Amino acid sequence: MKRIYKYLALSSVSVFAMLAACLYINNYDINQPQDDGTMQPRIKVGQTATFTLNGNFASIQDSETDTRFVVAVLAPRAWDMANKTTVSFHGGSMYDPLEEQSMSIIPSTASPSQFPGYTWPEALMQKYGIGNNKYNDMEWVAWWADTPCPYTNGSKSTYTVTIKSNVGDDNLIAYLGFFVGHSARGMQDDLSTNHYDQSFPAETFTVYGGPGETIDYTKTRFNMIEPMRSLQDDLITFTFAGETNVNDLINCNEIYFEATAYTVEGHSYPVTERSDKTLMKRPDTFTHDYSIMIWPAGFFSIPEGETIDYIEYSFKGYDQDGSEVVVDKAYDMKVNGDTPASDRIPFTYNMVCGVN
Amino acid sequence: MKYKLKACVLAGLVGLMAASCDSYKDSDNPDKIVEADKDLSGVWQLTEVKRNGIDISEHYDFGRFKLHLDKNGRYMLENRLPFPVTEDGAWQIDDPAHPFMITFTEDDVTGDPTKVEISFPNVHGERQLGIKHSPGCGSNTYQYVFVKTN
Repeated sequence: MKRIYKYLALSSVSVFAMLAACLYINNYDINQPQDDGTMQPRIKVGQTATFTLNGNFASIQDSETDTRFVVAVLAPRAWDMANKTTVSFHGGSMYDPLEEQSMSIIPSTASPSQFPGYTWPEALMQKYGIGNNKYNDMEWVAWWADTPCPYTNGSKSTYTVTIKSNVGDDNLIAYLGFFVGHSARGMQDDLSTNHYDQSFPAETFTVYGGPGETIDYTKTRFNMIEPMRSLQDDLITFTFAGETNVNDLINCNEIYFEATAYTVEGHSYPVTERSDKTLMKRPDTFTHDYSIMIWPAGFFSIPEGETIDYIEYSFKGYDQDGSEVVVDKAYDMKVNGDTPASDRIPFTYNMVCGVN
Repeated sequence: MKYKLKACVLAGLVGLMAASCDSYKDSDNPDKIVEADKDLSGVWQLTEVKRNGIDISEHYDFGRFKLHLDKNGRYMLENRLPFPVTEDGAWQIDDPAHPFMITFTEDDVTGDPTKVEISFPNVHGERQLGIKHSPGCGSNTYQYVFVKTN
């Protein structure tokens, strides 16, 4: 009989646990100090941005095992967060509230519960995708506390997470994303219990001041490039994504790639011919994507000993009257509501390996 | 009783292992298997290319690129593409029976020869020559698969 009471008592605790909140992000701060003394969600290339999350934690049962506090960030792949970002926190009832706790990348062998076989970044990508971004060169990276700890029934506390991330060399605009949780419950959804929480800032974060064009992750783009980072001895695919926005180029019979390579040595090598060499191919008729793969050193006939610094390019065709139709950076700006400084501004691609 | 039985089985196993160790000698090779030397010489043509694990064979005219490995130890690149070496020169493999590494020594290039790991699988009765390399950014990897032209 006693056993039954014990069982009932335990069940009621677990039901209560399912109905009570555990972990919340209360606010985030992605603003960085500016030269004019203000705080803005923007930073110069190469610098280290500091993001903070404040939240609270309340436990209504004892933990079965020690658990690790988990923090994950969604940011452009160009930031190379796994190598260039550190995450720490203070707070949480089991720790000294003043002592900063270190965190490390979660090993790929660990899966969040509910996502067996997935790494934490894979599970986060599955659950949240790339947030409000449109351009799919973002990644989730997840860290957990170096020191696991238990939690006890009734413990309540606040926490502050500090994320320091070098923002790399690319000018960009993107929406960031944040996640907190703990290793014991992963992304477990109970009726009204928050074993984890997420926050997707409504404002964009900007990295500025570097050479080359700005990659706006929040907009679909006419120009897509794979791989994002490459040198002149890579094979690079340039794609004109014709369905991105209104344009006349998709009505042309043939679309060509026109480009100029600028070398570190100060020379330029234009390729303006309309031939098989520059004809962009449409892999299927379901979409209006047109692609060309080039080996830059060969495509631009770069002499031995010279190194391409950057490539300027645009997509061109002729309409039925024989008039030239162009989609370039200037056109892209116009359809996005911006005012370009000139009617013809090519897209720019910098030949760098960057932070990797 | 159980323990005794286990002990017996264990003793038997150890005895068997000892016996099998004893009976094997390096000099005894009953089948007299000798690994034949592999002939890598010939004209190799690109048939498959993967960039960062994704097949891009159809996206470029890769078939034009040919790697000539001459019997006399010279190599020549025809219609060159990104490759571990840029100049023609001399080639050598580390082990004719089990080729694992090919060494290219470029003409007129000072510095160490370029060593490239290769695979040499037999696919549908035909030898293929596989090379994995990163001629541009280190973060980009290319897998080339060559077949011999007739």
